[in-house]
Amino acid sequence: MIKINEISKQFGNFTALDKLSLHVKKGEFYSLLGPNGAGKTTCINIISNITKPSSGAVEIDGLNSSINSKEIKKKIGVVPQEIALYNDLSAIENLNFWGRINGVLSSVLKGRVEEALRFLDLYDQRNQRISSYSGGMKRRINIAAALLHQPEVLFMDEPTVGIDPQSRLFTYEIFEKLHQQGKTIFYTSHNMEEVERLSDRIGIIDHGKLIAEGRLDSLKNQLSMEETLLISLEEKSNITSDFLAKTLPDMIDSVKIQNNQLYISTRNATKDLVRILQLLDKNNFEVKSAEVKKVNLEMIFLELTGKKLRE
Amino acid sequence: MIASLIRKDILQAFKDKKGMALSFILPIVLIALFSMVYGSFGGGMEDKPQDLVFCDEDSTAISQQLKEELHAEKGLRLIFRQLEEGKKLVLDGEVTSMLLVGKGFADSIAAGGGAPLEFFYDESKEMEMGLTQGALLSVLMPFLGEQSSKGQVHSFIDEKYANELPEDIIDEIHADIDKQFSTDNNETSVEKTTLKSTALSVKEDMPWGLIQAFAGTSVMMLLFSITGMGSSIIKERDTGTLKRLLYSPVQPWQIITAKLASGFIFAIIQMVILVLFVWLAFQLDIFRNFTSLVLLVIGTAFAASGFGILIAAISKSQKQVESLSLIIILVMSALGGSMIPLFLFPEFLRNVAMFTINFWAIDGFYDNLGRDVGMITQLVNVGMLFLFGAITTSFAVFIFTKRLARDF
Repeated sequence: MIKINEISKQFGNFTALDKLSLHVKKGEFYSLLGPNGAGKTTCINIISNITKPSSGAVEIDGLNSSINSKEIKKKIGVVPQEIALYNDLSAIENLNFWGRINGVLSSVLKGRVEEALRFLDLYDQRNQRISSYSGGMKRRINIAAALLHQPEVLFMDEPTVGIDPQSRLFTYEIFEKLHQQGKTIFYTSHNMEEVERLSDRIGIIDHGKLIAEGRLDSLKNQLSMEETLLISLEEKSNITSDFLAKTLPDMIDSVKIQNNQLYISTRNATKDLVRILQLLDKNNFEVKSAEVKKVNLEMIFLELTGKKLRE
Repeated sequence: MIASLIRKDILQAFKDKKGMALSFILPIVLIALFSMVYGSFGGGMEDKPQDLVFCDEDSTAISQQLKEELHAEKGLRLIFRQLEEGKKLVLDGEVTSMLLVGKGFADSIAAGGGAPLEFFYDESKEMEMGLTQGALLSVLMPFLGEQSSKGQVHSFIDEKYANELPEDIIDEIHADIDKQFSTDNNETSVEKTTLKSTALSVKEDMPWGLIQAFAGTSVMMLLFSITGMGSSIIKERDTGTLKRLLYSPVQPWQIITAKLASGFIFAIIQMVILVLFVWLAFQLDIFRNFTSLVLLVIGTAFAASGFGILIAAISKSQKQVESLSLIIILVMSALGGSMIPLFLFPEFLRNVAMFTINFWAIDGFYDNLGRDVGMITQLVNVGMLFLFGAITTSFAVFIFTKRLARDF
């Protein structure tokens, strides 16, 4: 459904995207993970044809984005990162406007707006100005505005930022329903849990390059990771990753240090934990806590990029 | 698409209560206020008598006669003071001007020489001083002329015939001369030569003050409200709705065209309401050249909407739009005649004024509502406004589309 072939984008001397290629199948929920400035929004802007790539090509449903821009825009819906709504208009006025702008005929628009408001549980507040809505309610209208023209492909650029936990769960349910309806979804997020919960496949992007891609299981397998030791040290510890890796080379695969937290990949974390703690104690490193964690997306991301996702 | 964008912009504009007050209530209040100031109703400045301190140091029959004649002048209200006291009143700003009748006034006139008269005025009130001076001269010139002529004839008789004719005959001649110059003797008096002034206007009592207030204020306020509306482009960029529009099938040219069109429609609504206001509240005759009035309103609205969008297109932030528009509109309004009537400007500034929207719109409204200049002359103003609109619109579209390509 979405084919990105070696797209690059330069902003002056800054390379936002560097020969990025990826394919998303019809009906697939694809999440692109990356830290701030990794190129996620630029990628969405290029796919949705508001930014021209410096090189490379994008195809959506067999249509070339540089040639068939108008047709592509009818097929896609974009939920932007910002709450891009008119604050001084009511929810119903906003939805009517975005529906008309996306080409929904007047004869069906009223029904679709009503349906969307009921679906999002905002029908009773439909005549209130957006400015009077809570953050979660605004997010829901922000999503609804991209659905009215029933696009085949949905691009969602961090659509749950700043949302309260209750609304977040409600929003996940909306995304899952959309996925079940067969929509192709291209999703970017900082939130590992939602990506793990919602995605069929995950791509990890850093410095404009796709550094890993696949299902969560396959990403784990790519890194031969099962379990990880997470050890928190006292603040003034000057430990280096080399110290552990060189002291216990037979046991440790890799060590990452972030804010006095050690992420240690071993072949058998549960078994090796005692030996590692003894070593740290012997070298006067004060341990605050230690736990064995099953490998999750956050650890994979850290392993691949060397940094936490929210950095 | 464009219709949906226009409908949204107009809806947003009408939901902005502050904007509505600035666009409609404020201009109405200002027009009413300025029309009073410019004197269209409640009596003009010319009708109000001007205070004048009269200081008589001569205290003769002639100076007394001058005092009485000035007292009879409707445009003046005399206040009698000594010299120093009178000067203080002028210096303190309580009275605009003072006339000093110096010692030897009567003798100088009798001798046919220059009269010792001095006029003092408050430098900060030159406009009012002009009105006082006008009323004063209308009395003073004929009075001095008459007195001087009479004095010269008396002197001539004395010099020429004093030694040749008996004294009683000479006295009789002097008495006859006085009789001839006397204003009481209508049959034989010398007729005074005065300049008769007649105001030429299409109709009597044309409310020029109201026309100036309406034209000046409405154009200035129109520019402010349309610039405010145009600045919604910046707001849309900042809130992300502009980007969201670009994600949709809408083209950039459609976005800017819709902004122009909604600004234009709003400007038309604002102008129509203000025209209706001056018609209903002040009975200003708006139907005498109605077709050209409609064209003028359209032209002014087009020029204002182009200007508003151009300011928004060249600005980088909401704050920049506000400060830039404030400076440009105030300068244009001052130069173009919105604040001060153009006849008070030196010629150089009047030429500069031609580069403002205000000038062509105000001049157009003067032609349309007050003068009787014919369709062709009025169309020149309308044409100039359309030219302004076309130039600003072209620049705005060019800059906006270029900026979009750069920003995204």
